[in-house]
Amino acid sequence: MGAVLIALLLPFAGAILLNLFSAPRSARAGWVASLFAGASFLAVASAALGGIEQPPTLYLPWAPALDLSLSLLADGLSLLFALVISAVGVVVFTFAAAYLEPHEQRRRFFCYLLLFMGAMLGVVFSSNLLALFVFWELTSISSFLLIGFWHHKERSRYGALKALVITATGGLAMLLGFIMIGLVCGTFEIPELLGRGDLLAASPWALPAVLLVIAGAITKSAQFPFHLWLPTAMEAPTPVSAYLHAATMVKAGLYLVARLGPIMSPLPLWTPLLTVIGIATMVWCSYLALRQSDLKGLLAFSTVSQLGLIMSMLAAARPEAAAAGLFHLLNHAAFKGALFLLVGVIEHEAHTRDVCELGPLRKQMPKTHLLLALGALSMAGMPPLGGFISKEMFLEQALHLGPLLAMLSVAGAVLTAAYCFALAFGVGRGRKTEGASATATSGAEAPHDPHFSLLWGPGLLITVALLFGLFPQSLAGALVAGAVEAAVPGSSLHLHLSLWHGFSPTLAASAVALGSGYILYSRWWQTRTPDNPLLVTDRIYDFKLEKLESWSKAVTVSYMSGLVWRYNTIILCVGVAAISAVFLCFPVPQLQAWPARSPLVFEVAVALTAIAAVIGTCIAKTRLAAILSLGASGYTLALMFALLGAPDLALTQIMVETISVALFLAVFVFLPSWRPPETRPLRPGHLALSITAGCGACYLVALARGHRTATSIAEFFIENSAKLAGWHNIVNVILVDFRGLDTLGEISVLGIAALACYAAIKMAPQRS
Amino acid sequence: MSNLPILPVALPLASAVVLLFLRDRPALSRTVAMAANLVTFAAAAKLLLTVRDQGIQVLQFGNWPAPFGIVFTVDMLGALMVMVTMVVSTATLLFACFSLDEPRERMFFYPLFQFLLVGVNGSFLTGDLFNLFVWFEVLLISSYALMSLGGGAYQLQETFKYLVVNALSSCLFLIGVAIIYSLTGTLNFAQLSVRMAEVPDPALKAVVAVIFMLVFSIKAALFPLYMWLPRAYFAPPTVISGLFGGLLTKVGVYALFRVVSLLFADLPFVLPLLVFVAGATMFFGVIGALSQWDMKRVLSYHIVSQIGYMIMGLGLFSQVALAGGIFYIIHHILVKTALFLIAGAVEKSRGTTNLRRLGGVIETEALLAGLFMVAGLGLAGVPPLSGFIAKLLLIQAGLQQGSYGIVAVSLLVSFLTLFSMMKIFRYVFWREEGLPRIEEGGNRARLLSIAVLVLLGVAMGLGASVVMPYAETAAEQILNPQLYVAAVLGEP
Repeated sequence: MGAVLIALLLPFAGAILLNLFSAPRSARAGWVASLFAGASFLAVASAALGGIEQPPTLYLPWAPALDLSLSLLADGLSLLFALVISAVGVVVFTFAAAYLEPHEQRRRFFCYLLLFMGAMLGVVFSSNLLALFVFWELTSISSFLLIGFWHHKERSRYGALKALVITATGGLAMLLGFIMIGLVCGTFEIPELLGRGDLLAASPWALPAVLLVIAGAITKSAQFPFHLWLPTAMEAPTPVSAYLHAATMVKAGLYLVARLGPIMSPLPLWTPLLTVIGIATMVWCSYLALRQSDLKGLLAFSTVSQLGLIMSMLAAARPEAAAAGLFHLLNHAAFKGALFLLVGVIEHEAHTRDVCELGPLRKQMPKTHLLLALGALSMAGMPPLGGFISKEMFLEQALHLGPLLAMLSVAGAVLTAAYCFALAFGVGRGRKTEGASATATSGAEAPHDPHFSLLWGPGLLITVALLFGLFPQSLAGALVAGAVEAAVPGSSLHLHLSLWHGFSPTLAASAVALGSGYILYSRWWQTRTPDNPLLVTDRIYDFKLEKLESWSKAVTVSYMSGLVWRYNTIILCVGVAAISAVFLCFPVPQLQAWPARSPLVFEVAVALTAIAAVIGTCIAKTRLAAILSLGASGYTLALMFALLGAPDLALTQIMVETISVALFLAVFVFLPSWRPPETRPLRPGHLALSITAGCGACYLVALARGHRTATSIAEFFIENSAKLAGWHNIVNVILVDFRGLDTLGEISVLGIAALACYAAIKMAPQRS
Repeated sequence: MSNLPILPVALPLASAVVLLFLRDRPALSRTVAMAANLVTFAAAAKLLLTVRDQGIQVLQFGNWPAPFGIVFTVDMLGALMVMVTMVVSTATLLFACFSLDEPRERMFFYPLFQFLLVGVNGSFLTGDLFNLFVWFEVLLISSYALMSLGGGAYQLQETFKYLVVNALSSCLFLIGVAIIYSLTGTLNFAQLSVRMAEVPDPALKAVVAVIFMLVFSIKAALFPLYMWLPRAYFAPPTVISGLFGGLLTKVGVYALFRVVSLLFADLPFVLPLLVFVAGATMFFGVIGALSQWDMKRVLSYHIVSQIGYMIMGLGLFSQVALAGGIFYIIHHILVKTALFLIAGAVEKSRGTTNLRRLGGVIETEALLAGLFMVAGLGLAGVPPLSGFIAKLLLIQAGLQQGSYGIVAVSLLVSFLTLFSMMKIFRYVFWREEGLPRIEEGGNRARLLSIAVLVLLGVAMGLGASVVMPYAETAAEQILNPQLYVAAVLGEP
């Protein structure tokens, strides 16, 4: 397991070291990154060659309280994916090192790419569902950064966001599904989960969990109806498209399906839903691929369609089907990675990717064209390439799916063959607009085959695709068999991959697919201009995004008035409503009488004066009147304190009122003249609210007053003021001793207020 | 009984007074303020460790026995809050030393900063309801002063609104104190906890609960009472917004945790109401963020939205949920302050935080872009950062209790938060170069202060197993108020 851990850590270490020690545009960054990728590949390979250890897990705690661990799992399935990831990684890294222009931010690019590689290895090596999610999200983020690498282009940013929005939404759904599984089964460790599938099956969360996990898988793998993000993600630099959006990241969804198949496939909907989605994606997107004029667009839809094919195979959770899916996955990684890189080469040389604008490739770039054609033919399922074998296996399994799905599968194969022929032969012939291409390239040098550094990578991948066809059993047999064992535990499949299966219905289906595909290509595709249809899902996405912006604006503007009286109205309304609700829901307590004495006449008079003074403040026509009226209410309050036997309070109140009135009057000199607005609307609603809130507060205090349940701490103060604190004036003792800390705080408040006033006046902005 | 709990209040208070006299010497002021902060930091750390090892700490002022005098009662929650306060205030102070203009520095910025810490720490430590009111006043008056400091018309106007709203809420707070004192005859939290449980009349108890929840919801900026926040936090210099954004609303959240757990958790409507309010706060907060086109405004709305998650933890009120909520508070204070400081750094270097006018910042300030990316993803709860751990706990708790509604809302809001962070990233850091850089160099200390916060956020995620025990202990103490009561009043 040590090798696996090293393989996982190397890319992250590389990213960090690159950031620390490399110049932003250093040409060496690419080669250093390639070294790290290569070392990681070697580590994976040595783990794979060493056979699967028993037990194939390594436990690394992270947050044990959450059952969150970074435990690793390296069984056949993980190793198969990890080999693909690291091997294609090495090719892509070296390719990119030669591909990027000298002025580009290579350090950043390779840092993101290494981050992605590490995250992807993390996904396939995680043995804990939550850790898997962690890496899963990291791949989404690094994909966002890589798609938007050329961030000055609007389409790049659009594509990056779209990919993130869709995969992150799916990711969150999946997380919810994972948590449900974990809570039901009591663990997030995948090996332990395998034995607890029946717990999940018995739980009411089984169906939601299935749907949520499927949502995660199909958004990541861009399956119908979430295929919309992959074509726009093609704005990424081509090595990124080759690596993330053809060979690895989009296969994370497939990995998830294969990995959780043993647990989830007995549950309702898992297999049928995924099979239908897979086949539908395969057919629909291969049709869309035929209608693309952009080579990368064509490859993007073809990727989606091929992923659909693999998805339908893995969902079945039968060993033969899983073998077909996994072997096709290997083939696909080889030929599709190569195809993308070759399109990158073509774009690099010819400065366009448009089928209609490209010149005659076979003459201009013969080597590139040969590789392109071989890759496309492998995808079409042409013997003796690897694609032929896995396509055969797929068709054989598809025949088990019932007549409708079987027919759809064959139809998908026909469409696939058609666009593959288009890719192999259609582009090379510079189809109909040779004149246009001649003018396009007349100014510049005619495109030609690139330097070896850009060709050896795709060449290597194509060679692998070819070897997969010639020696399938010796190259991939053990690998696929090991992965099948993990994906369908307990299966006893004697896998034998071979080019020649003998005459069988499958062979006939293959021949039909290739023949019809060629006819479709020559009769239909060659006679019409690709029209790049706008997807309905795209339109929905754009519409929703616009809606989100305008709707959020409308909602927020509707209540964020910026008016302070509205703020206060809301606060008081909420308060009054909440208190009213309490009194509606609970029995209203009895208002208890005060200690037996009715209010004296002059007490009532003082109270009324105070109220009148407050009203006066509100309706005063001049500042002076308002201030004096406010002062009057304060003085009557002081009088009230005096009457009720609190002379200290009364004195304090009088002092406060005197000072504030005096200060107000002093400040008046400096203020501009003020008159209340002519038409000052007296809002009845506000009046009612104020009166309700005021009277309500009064009522509540009175209510509480009569319901004391225990003796007050004041008794202690009365008793001990003289005895323990040495002073008879209880108020003073409370202020400076019993609760001296409060006083300290209040004094600070006054001091800070003084500072604030001073600062506000001194630093007042000069009027311009 | 040691005097340790008073230090996080006494040290800033003393340094504030000293700093008052150093007004004309900004360089010395910076040094003194920083030194004071570091000492307070150490005291807070010591306090945290003491609470971890010896349980809840109680300090009776003037040695007056518990329910009569004022006590500081430091449980794990309070100690954690003080600790994280000192972390972000030190980082913010560092940032301020290298970003604030000299007129503001001379106009008592540093003393006011320390006074603010007095109020914040006092609120976290006190075990007395009226004393809490006093510390609230200290922090509020300092925040008015800081918010209006050296401001133009807009800043003064927004400070005025902030002041009016807070004056109203303080007034409600006082009414609440009066009612609860009338009912129970005490102000000590521990004794209040005992006596509130004995109040026979459910209506009166509910009234008290409603008033205090209202008051602290205004402070914490909960739905529908948060409308004061976004503009108020937009107005002042970013470093002040950052400190406020990280800390101030969390004092309200803390107070809610405190009063709900000690006084009102047994009322049938309180917890479901909190869960509902949490959902609405998250949702409308994030919707507000999506509608904005200014970095600081977007971040301000996210404060509101994130508060919802903390209250979700309180509302679900289980061990897992409370630990999640507390984890969330700490995570949020670190990350949100970092994000505001990043906005401040952008403003310093480009002269604006307007998304439409910025662009291409990544080309010249790659490190800042990286820090924003990590902090933004942390805020959105992307693993393996701190926000993820917190959200994971909350979602687990929600599912366990069958509160599917709030779980769905919290996931939706997570997604929208990510979307909104990426909007900032796309507009500020990506795109063609927007406004040119107006300032060269001099920003290393600023980057350092941001980096420290961001790295702490990352460490909190990766090292969740280190932080989790603290959050769990805090949650346990909150779930068992008798521990708090026993520490203050002695075993019954």
